[in-house]
Amino acid sequence: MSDRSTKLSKLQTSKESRAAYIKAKLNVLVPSQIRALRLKLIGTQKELAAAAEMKQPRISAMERPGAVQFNVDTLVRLAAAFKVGLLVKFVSFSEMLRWENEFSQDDFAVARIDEDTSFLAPVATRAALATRVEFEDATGQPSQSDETTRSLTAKRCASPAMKTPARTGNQGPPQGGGNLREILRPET
Amino acid sequence: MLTDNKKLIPSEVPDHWTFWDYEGAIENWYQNDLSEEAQDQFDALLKNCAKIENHQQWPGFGKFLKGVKEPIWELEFRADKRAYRVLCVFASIVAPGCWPRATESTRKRAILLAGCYHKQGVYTPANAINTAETRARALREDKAKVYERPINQTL
Repeated sequence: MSDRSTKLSKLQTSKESRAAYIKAKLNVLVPSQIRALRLKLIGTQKELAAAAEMKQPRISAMERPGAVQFNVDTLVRLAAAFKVGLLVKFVSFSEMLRWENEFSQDDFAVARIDEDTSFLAPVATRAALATRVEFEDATGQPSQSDETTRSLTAKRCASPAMKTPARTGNQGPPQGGGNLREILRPET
Repeated sequence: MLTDNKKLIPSEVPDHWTFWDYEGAIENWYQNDLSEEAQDQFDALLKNCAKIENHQQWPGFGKFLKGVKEPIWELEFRADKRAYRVLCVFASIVAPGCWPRATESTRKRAILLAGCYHKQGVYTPANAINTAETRARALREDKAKVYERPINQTL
């Protein structure tokens, strides 16, 4: 096991150490995501191979840690076969670690495009959300959040139209959510 | 501990798998034989596998070895152009005295016996499988100790 302070010092001073660290995480977590989605959305490696127009041994290799050096095109082909999207995003080390710690192959699930209501019918989803807010206003009781609410709220918070105070200094990680009514108001 | 018709039933199943080091041999291999990239990948692999309920779904869960007397299986990962193998057994073969503390249940525990790498059917070091077999037998016969390998959530 790596002593944390030694490792942190290496990560701060050595580009090779940072590259090795990032690569190690991706070499484990990308195959794990592929396996999770294959099992949940497709079935066998042979079936995924057919969907992605690849050979089964290649799929097998892609599910083994470090066996394949992925390029973005390969990931795009897999995402298209799974009928899901793909994010390739630069993040802080803390965000990468948080993602790793929270990732669970057993729980990892992504909505396919044909089940992705937020994407297929964003207007209907907004209307349902507005109804929910009116209900909350009338009763004073917050209703239970669901996937749609979380998804839409997150999207709105990420939107450049959302005016948030500039973050300065070391304020810790950004908090999700935000005031739902304020988020909705400018467009309702 | 619950009992059912004199049969002992373990009281609880742990949330996560834990990985145990045979007499510190794995830590020795990790420190001396693995590059930084391989060390990072090994750490990430154990962290990920610990959360996956069914060990057969672990990325890198390899085959049980044939032609050996102990139920040894491989955990595979590839780093710095080497196909590493960690030879392992499940806790069911381990004698009670091998654990550092008396324990009711040994479910979801994997014991890491020896590390090596593999190319075209050749293991390096060449005696890795024999070593793993000897170590598994020592655990079965209560002649060795295992130590938990902590999973670092801050790295």
